[in-house]
Amino acid sequence: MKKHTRWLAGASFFVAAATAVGSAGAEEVKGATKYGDMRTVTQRMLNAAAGDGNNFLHTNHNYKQTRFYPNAQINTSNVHRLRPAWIFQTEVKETMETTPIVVNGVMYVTTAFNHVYALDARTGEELWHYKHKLGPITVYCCGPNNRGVAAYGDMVYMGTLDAKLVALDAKTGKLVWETEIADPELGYSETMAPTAVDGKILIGTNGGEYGIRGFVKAFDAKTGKLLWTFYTIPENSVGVWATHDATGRDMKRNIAAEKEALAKMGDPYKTLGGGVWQNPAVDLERRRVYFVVGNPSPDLDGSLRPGDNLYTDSLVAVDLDTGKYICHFQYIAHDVWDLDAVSPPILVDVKDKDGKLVPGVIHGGKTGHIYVHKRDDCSLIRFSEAMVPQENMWTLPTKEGARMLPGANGGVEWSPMAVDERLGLAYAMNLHQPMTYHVESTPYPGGKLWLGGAFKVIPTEEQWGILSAVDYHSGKIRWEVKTPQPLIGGVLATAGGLVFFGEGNGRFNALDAATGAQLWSFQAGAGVNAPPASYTVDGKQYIVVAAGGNTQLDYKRGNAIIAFSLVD
Amino acid sequence: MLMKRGRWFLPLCVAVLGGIGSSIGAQTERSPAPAAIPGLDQLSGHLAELVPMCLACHGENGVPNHAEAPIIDGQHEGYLYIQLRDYKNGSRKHEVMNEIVKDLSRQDIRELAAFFAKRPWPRLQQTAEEGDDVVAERLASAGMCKECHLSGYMGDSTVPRLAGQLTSYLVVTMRAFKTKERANNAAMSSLLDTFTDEEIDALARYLGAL
Ligand code: HEC
Ligand code: HEC
Repeated sequence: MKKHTRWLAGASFFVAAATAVGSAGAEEVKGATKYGDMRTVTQRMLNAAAGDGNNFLHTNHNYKQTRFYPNAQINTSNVHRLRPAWIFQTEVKETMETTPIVVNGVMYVTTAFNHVYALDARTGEELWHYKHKLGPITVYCCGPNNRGVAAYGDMVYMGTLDAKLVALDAKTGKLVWETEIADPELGYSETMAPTAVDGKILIGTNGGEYGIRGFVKAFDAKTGKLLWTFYTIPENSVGVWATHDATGRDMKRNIAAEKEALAKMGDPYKTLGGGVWQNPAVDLERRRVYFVVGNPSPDLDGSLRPGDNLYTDSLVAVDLDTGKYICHFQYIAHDVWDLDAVSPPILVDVKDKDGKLVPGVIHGGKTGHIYVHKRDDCSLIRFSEAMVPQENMWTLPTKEGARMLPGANGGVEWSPMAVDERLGLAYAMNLHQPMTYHVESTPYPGGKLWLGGAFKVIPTEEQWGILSAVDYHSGKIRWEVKTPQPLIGGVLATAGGLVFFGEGNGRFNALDAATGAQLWSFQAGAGVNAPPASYTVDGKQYIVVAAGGNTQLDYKRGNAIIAFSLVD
Repeated sequence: MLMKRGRWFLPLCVAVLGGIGSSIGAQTERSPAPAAIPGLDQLSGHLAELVPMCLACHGENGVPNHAEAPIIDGQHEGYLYIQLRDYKNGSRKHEVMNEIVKDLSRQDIRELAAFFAKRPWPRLQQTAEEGDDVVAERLASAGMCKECHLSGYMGDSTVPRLAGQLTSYLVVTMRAFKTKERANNAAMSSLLDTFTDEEIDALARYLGAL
């Protein structure tokens, strides 16, 4: 099929007036939820989340991370009647990246600086508010973000900027236990939502800009006891001296010089970075978790870290019960552009090279490609057409600065994709922000920002965003929609044939999942840079999203959680 | 105007090299009387004895007595801790400050940071010059300052507040980042590396007046 590119129309074409929903229903609902009826989140509920048309139990909706909500009440034919049902304003007006989690009519959202709110999902009324007392030292690169809670049993779990894991009583918001994941003074911090599975709370770490040694850890959900640690950087991080990236392009490595450096300085694994800061996908049958590992430290300076820098910039699978390594695939060996792997991987069946349907894993990269893997052994089946412009790949960073596209805020970044398996499409939001790459070697600074140079936005060049629908069975772009600003935040697809996503300028949009035609838009008044979610209570479907702007791209800040439903 | 760097004298009587506002002069200034300082009783004894000396330079009411000494009252605790740690381990160099912290323990430094962070940030009522805001906003967007220093330049935790900081200090420290004389944050150095001295001055006046 031919791909269509269109520019998103101005919001003025759409009815954006905020109509209040009739207050009739609100009253009777109130008594029913307040502290009543908050069901325990069982493992069975979590396993069945993909088909759960009521709750929204995982950050990426289900263990496969498809972000496909199976209720079709709101659909292509009626989405034009979508209006705000309620707006909740948090106390914190800073960057919002939270995915609301909804359990039986109760919604849990988080804010910057680690506040958690429980809300009545029907009315937006606050049930409780927890404010994590941050320790004096927090070290993080890209805004005081938090991406939400994990719900499990009678508790909700959150990772904090000061690198702790906290467990709260879901009914009251009271702290049940708290444990230190790592030492924040060394550059560790938490922004991702944890993943809960089989009595374990899984969480990775930020810190790829600070010379950490990355990991994924599993904690006991009841007690907070550490169960296993998988270091994303093995003690032998050298690898196979790969000279080409996953797409077959020469990365211009000077292998001889690297080998010499290795002989002199030894394996750099202790400060090699490799953060994991988005949720892993869980394959319950194979008892495996799949996640992607971020960039090596220091970002731009390869001279201090000879070798492939395993398992940075890779898809990795480990055993769910033990954390033992199973397989990996590295996209970019010895990356010096911070074009790492972040967006959460998705488990879907994909066509292999012979056109046979096999269990697959897909990942949207900062390079602008969607990579399609065999789930079995992590091997690459194909990569998609580039969704954003690529120029001068791979040009090495220089002292004066070398221009290469994509820039380091490029491609899919952390934004979770969504898929509609009926159409075989993955929906990816992308950034196009031209930058120059500058290298300057500096020694490990003990927990401070360690870029080994600088990324500089080229002020005279145009920036924009693009939402791409990619056929993962072929790698072809089916349709794409351009936006005036680079896109960050995440996508939701629904059984109603819709794709929802937000923009930095405050617009929140619904597109036709099959064609990309714009069906609805709403101006939220602050950047919509968080992943949308959906839920159904009392037979009524809602779409919900946070509008809090974004620190990294300096999009207008706000503090709103907005839930939408259909008006007659 | 920038003061030339001269010699600093320690401890309790401090020679003032240059000042701001009214507390200037080449005369020797007395440390404030400990009794008048709220919260001092919560500090370990040996630290309580140190604080009046700190205030002799950093200001009894938070308004620094020196053109080159920053506001530390009300600054973020994590940042104060990291700076004192860096003066101690030598990654940030300054004659006076290195000397002052050299025998302090990690715990001492934590206590001092917590103590100063709790004090109120003073308002200096500094003004910018016409056009400074235009320059500053251009540089700030190129350098993505607010990505780390946050909206309003209020900072958080280990990232310092810049809004309303003493302008003359901001000039000194940004130039020191640029020349790498202040070497405890390579990222700040490479950011400021591309700015001219005049641009840095405008930026400092803009931030100081916030
Ligand atoms: C003789 C004057 C003097 C005394 C006494 C003094 N300081 Fe300082 N302090 C300075 C100067 C000047 C600087 C700026 C140094 C530089 O440029 O690195 C400074 C910097 C600092 C900083 C870094 C703040 C920032 O914004 O980066 C901290 C923290 C600090 N001092 C704390 C203290 C404490 C605590 C004490 C007492 C234990 C103290 N100082 C005593 C003059 C003094
Ligand atoms: C990547 C994050 C980051 C960015 C971007 C950034 N800063 Fe900083 N800045 C810091 C950190 C962290 C410190 C504390 C340095 C240290 O650890 O010693 C700092 C320190 C400073 C200081 C010293 C304050 C003091 O009290 O001594 C000034 C001034 C400053 N920054 C100005 C700027 C300006 C102006 C920009 C934009 C041109 C900027 N910064 C961009 C992180 C950043």
